[in-house]
Amino acid sequence: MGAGVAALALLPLGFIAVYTVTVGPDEARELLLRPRVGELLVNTVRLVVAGIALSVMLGLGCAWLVERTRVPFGRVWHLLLVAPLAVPAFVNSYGWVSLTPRVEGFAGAVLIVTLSYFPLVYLPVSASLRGLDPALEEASYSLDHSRWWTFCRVVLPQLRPALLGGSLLVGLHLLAEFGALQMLRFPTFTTAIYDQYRSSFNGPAATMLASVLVACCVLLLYAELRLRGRRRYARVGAGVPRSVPRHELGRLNLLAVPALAGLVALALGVPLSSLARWLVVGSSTAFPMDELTAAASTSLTLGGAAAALTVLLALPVAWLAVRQRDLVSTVIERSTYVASSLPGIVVALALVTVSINVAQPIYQTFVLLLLAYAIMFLPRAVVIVRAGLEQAPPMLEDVSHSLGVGPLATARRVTLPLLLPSMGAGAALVFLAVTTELTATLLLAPIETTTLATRFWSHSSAASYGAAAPYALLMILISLPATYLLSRRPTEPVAS
Amino acid sequence: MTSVTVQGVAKSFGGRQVLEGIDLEVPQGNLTAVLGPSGCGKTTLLRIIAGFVHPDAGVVRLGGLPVVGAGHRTLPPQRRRVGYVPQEGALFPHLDVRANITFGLPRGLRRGPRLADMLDLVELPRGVASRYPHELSGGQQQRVALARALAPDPAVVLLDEPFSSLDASLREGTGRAVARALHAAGATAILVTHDQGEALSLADQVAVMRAGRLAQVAAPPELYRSPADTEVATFVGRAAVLPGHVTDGFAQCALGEVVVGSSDVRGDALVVVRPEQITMSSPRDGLVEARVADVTFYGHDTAVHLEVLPSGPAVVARIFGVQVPARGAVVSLEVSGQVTAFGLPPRPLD
Repeated sequence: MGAGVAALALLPLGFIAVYTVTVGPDEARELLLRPRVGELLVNTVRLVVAGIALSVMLGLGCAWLVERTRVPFGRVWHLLLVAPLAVPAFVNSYGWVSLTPRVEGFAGAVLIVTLSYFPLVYLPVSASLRGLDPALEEASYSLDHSRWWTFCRVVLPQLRPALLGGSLLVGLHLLAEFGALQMLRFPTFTTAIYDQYRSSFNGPAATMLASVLVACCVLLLYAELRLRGRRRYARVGAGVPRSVPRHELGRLNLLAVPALAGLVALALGVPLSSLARWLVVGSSTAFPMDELTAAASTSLTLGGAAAALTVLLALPVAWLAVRQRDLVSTVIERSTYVASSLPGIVVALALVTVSINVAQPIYQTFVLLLLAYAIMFLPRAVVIVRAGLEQAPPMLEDVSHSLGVGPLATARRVTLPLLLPSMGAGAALVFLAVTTELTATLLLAPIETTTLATRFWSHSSAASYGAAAPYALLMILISLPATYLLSRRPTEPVAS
Repeated sequence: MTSVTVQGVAKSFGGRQVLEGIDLEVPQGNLTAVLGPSGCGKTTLLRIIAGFVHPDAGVVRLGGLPVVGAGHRTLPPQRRRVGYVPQEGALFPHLDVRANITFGLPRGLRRGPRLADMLDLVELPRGVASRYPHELSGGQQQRVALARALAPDPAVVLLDEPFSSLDASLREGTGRAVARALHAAGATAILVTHDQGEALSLADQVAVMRAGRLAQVAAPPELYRSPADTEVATFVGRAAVLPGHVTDGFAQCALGEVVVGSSDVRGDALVVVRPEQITMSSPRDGLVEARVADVTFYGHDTAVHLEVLPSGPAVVARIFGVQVPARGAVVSLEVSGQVTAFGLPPRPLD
């Protein structure tokens, strides 16, 4: 089962590998050893490095302020810091670019992608901070260690899985980001591949670029694997841990509150106000109700179906990774990650090629599009379902069996209820991703089918910012419930 | 309720032998404690009986019927009717006390009187039924875990260090209550523990486990009075092990001449003396003298640490009452009652 999911996820990679081999070494060298490729490599690497570094700083800092200090309005900040996930990166860059063209280029690109993706670090880190046992920190204080020393030597090592997991997600997103960077005119491998396909339909050249991108992704996965180690993080304790004492900020509030407010203003305020401005004053603004409802309902349907399918596929993978920790299960889990770093267009074209050759009936149908979404967004579901499974010790299943309850009933009455919150969170994350997905949708959606994202893109790339605005607004509105679901604390009662 | 029979059970994990040649008979309605230091394999034995772990060799019978081994089809845990109370309770965190306790009952019986009966049995107020596990104290969680295990009327109840996470003050009361509930239910039970006080005070029978093997299986008084070897003697209660020489039922050792209980030991031997067998008096001729090195006052009794003069071994005497000797005082020692002696292999000739 897990192996089947992995095989599906590896399909696009296989497509690239086969293409690379058919091209042959001579032509491959000719295609790769070009100044253009070097330039793309430098751009991609510095974007990923700077984006991860900034996201970690922002995510860690905000998580600490919200979870461990008495900063005023903590709950409100939490919601506002998760909210940027509801604003797609390409809508964010649309907001900035339509405001000032000066954000084009490297600095602007790093700023905007970080503002869009730092919640991916903030969320797991704040969840970990909540779950830490305060006794460890108290022990450190009692040994006369300072707050700063304790934070670096006691708290940070425990946050490592969350920080590394979040960084990996940010890195993979940046490798695959297309819309925002295209709008900001900052070329990376992903945008170059898109241009290559669109302009010349030059298969081999684009696929060679994609192979370098895949290499970057593999490197990132390997680094995370090495840094994380093989420790287990299941907590098998009685009841819930004590709640963590919070630091009194005192006069530092005068720094902390404006810092948080500034970040929220940049990440949410700028794109939203710019959107509002275009809605109100844009000369091309119009509200074609029929088109809007059609696109919205397509987005909702696709998002819901893809979320359900992806979480179902994530279950066996997460199960193997947690309960049967060995080389095979690690390979299976990691192979699902590989696919998500491939730009949507590569996944899409791989599926187009494969379906035309071996599965003609599903070509140009929603089935193929859903499969593409599942391949691309599987890691998000796996990461979250996996974390939930680590909180459900196998002992509970043993106890259930000893009470005369068989395996199926145990799954229904014990394992599933314990997993539901994380499955819900995983589904929400996939739903968010699908409603804002652009490239695969552009290529795979059945003819005449449009979603909010594709409508927005066709208007804004034609510089009709006003016409694009209502679609962006709707996209954000239907993302809000899922974002709220994600911001909910996992410790809130799950029982009826 | 049924008996439990374990014969020749062996298990190894990744090349490491965890259990070897385990034979254990637990009669119907009996509470047996498996006592051993952590890592000796006692939890593995419990998990094999429950059916969570498959043994490499051996047979487990419940009420005479083989559930694993002896060429029979292995019975899965859910068909063995074995209640299991794991460490720290492991209550289902998403269910309240009512749903936890009635978890193993058929749907139709979940609303019946069984819940109230079980709460009464483990001496919990009815009001806790609607609470969630995280709203209970450790002792309450443990009692709910026992009620959950007993509710489906299991053939056997297995308890894996159920009290180790409790405070010392809660541990004894909870232990008594659990033992009472098990007896009231007429349950056959196996309790795994590393606490010898718990094993001796709660169990009808104690099996001492050491490095994957059973060293001795006996009723608590017999285990204490006639340990199988010096290691069991020092593990189950405190004891001084002194080298000595046995002739005609008497042993000569650092504490003088002592009476050896029923034993055919002769020649060089190790003599086991319990602290409460040593009595102290003011110095008298003809008796062994010792200096008081330290005094530990426990309230109900006192441990007096002694150094036998002139350079003899250190021993501990336990005395009752509040009359305790001062540190540094010199006293005479006598040994009352019979001691156990273990023969040593004859020394090779030089």
